[in-house]
Amino acid sequence: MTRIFILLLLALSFTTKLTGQFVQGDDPLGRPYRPIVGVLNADVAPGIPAKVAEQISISFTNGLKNLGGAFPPYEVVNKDQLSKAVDMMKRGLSAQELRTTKFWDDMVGAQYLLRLDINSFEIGVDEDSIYDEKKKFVRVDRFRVASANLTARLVDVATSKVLMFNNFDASGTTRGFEEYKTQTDSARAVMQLNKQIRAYGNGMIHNVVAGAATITSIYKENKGKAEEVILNNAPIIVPNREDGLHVYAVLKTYTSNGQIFRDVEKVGEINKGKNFQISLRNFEVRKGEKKIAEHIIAGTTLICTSGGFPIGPFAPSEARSSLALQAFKNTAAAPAKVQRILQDILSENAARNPLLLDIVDREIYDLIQKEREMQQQTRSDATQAGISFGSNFFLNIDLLDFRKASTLKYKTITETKPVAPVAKTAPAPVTKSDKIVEPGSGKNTKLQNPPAKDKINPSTNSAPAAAPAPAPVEKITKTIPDKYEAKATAKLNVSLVSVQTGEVVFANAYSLSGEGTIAYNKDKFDRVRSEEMAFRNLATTVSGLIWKDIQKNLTPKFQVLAVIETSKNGAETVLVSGGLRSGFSDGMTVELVEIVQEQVEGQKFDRDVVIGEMKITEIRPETSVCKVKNGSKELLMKLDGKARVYCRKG
Amino acid sequence: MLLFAAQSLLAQNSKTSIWVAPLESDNPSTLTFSKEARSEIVESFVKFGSFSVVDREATQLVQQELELQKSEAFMDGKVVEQGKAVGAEFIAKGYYHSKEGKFVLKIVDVSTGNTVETDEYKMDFFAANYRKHLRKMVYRIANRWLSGAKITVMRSLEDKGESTQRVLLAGGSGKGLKVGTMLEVFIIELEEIDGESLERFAAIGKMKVDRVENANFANAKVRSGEKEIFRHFAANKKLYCRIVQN
Repeated sequence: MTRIFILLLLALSFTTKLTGQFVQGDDPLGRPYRPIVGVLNADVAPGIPAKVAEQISISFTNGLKNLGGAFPPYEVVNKDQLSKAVDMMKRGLSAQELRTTKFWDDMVGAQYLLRLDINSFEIGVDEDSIYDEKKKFVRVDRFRVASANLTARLVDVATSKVLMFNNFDASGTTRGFEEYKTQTDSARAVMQLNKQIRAYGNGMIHNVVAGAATITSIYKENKGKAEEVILNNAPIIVPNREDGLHVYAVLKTYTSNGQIFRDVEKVGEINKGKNFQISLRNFEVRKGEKKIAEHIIAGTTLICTSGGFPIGPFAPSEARSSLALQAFKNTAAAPAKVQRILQDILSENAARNPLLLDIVDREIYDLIQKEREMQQQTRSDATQAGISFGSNFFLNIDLLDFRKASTLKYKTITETKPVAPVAKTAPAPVTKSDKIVEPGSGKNTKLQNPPAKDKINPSTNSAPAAAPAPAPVEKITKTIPDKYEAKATAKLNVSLVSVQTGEVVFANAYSLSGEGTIAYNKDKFDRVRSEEMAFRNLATTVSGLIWKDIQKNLTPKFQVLAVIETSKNGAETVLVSGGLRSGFSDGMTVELVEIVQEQVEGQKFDRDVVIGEMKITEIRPETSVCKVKNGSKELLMKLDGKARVYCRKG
Repeated sequence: MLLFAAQSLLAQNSKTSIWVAPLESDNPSTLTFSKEARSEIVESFVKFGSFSVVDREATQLVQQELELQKSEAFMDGKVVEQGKAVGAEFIAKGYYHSKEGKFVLKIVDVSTGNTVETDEYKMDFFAANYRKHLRKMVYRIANRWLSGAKITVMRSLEDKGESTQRVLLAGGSGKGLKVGTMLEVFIIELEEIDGESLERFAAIGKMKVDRVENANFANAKVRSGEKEIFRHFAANKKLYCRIVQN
């Protein structure tokens, strides 16, 4: 038995080697469970020292490789030598020869490419004013500060789809007193900057490229419940024991016009239990023990993933429209950094808004193509060829005007200052006419300033002792610097253009401003920071508005895939294409529309005939369940007649 | 399947296609403003809903993308249909006379070179509300332009006895129809005048749009002439309508 097992393991390892270090999975495109992320050369803005850029790139890549000290569910390879390797291959080296070169590691086909853009790098002296309570003085602490603005984008090689776009700032400082004078101080600030960049890289792509596995059988069963299950590819996809995997049951697969929609339901959760054995890949069932057992017995495909479903960028996306990211025009001749950041924030928003559109990259398309060529030449099975997403639309943006300015605002304060005591003058000489009354002499002396009656304590029949007269103070009104108020303004022309027809789907001119305020701190960076803040606020507002307009102008239709429940009235509940990423919300009302063709003067045109109304009751990963509110009978009739029935937001 | 209304809408060229040419001015300092103003005109035509506004500035990018999609990398992927570019039937030309503070917008027919519509307005490009005026101007032109167009009344959707209650129109948002648009229903009669046969639009009723299906179709409720409309449909006669109030 042991011998057979060893032989099986050997056979497995041999197969693994043949297929290029990974095992193919259930992904519709045949992706491996442990995807490979190829890191490209960083795109460095002019003026940034090469050494600094190199350090930043290395730090970021190291961050990607290390998932909080754990083994990430993806492999990171460096693509620095990519061009060189492709050139070598083009010179006619055989695959055998290539295996012996030192570039082999770099030539493993990547499913995803990651590029870091280093947009800016600055190093300077900053200062903090710290008030020392004990010593009663203000200490000015100067230190070195290194800061950078970076953009990380992750693109799917096969489709050119942008999976992640992230524009971020990082900084590092020397925090000791007077640590700004020497070169060592500068180097330390850069080191701190790199440390932060590494931390940002850590886990940045984790949820985007995580792989998946399928449940093959039940390992431990108890009264119809699956207590432990066996996965086909477990050890490499779960970084930590505590991290559970979601279990999705693929209930049915629908094919509509060549597009695949999986009706998927989340049925439970599993995780690496105490009894986990790497050779067995046995996982403990944390939730849904009964359902998982039933599905396994019924032969349903059960997919486990650490992220959400669908896995990666696929499934309904094939039927979605896509938008190309491109550099925009800069009529305003704004600084390159401003243009870059505006563009990047817009792209970041785009990549985070997958509800309506897939985002495809055309800025680094040449590099993606190079990677594909390399995979073709090395016969790598990493990427399925020829499935690129063409762009349906692109955004035509022109930055017409950009300005930023800041003003130092002053405030008026009133300070009190003790007045120097007046020099005592000699008492005036006593004259005969003066009457001297000694206090406490028992004589009926009359107080010159008697206390008010209500101030007299009735028990003691005395007034409290009078407070000593306050020391004389002088009030001084001063005008001092308070804060920097900055304003950034921009005018942009934006239009969404159809690639197929060249038509403008929507156009808008945006004229916006952003504000930033930084308290005056006697710091030479205050002004810069306030302007930076104003610009960032402006960029975020512009980007948000543009995306709102795109969503408003593109209204998708979702096909009715199947009838789930019927009654004597007709279709009661139906399944429609479009799930989590379709912009549906629970309880949303949608219109039922039949598309019919009408002939008008010899030409055929589509007509959207409203036949009823439905309510979204359940949103699944790729599909949704709707309850028919009206038009049940007609809907059933139309579906039986193979009519084209869709739903759309009313 | 997810489909974009915008795509299907674009695929059906029932709309009038127009290109807004770069605006001209006698004062070069109005360059930024003229770019903004042009964007406002484009936006207004798009928002009006009856026009396909084509972009010629982006032609190079469109061509690049179309070329890219012809490559092997897209063989089994997702591509747009080639050769579907829309040509502009009309060009909107704007001129700003800075000395007079006057903006003139003309619509020129590409096939004949004739100016089909024109409008002008005294405005200051530097004033805050100039965009509002531009929009009003575009809407004025568009309404005038479309009001003359005849829309085919396809058939009855609802009859009550021998009177037609609701009808289907072969025109939707693409013809400028909105819910509430008032229409005049007419038949075309030929009149002989001095041996020449001329078309006469003989009004037989009134309707109000109560649903716009898409760019190509709308439904209207008959407000007057129900019986006459029914009779004409029964006799298989062609019925048309035109916008009287939008």
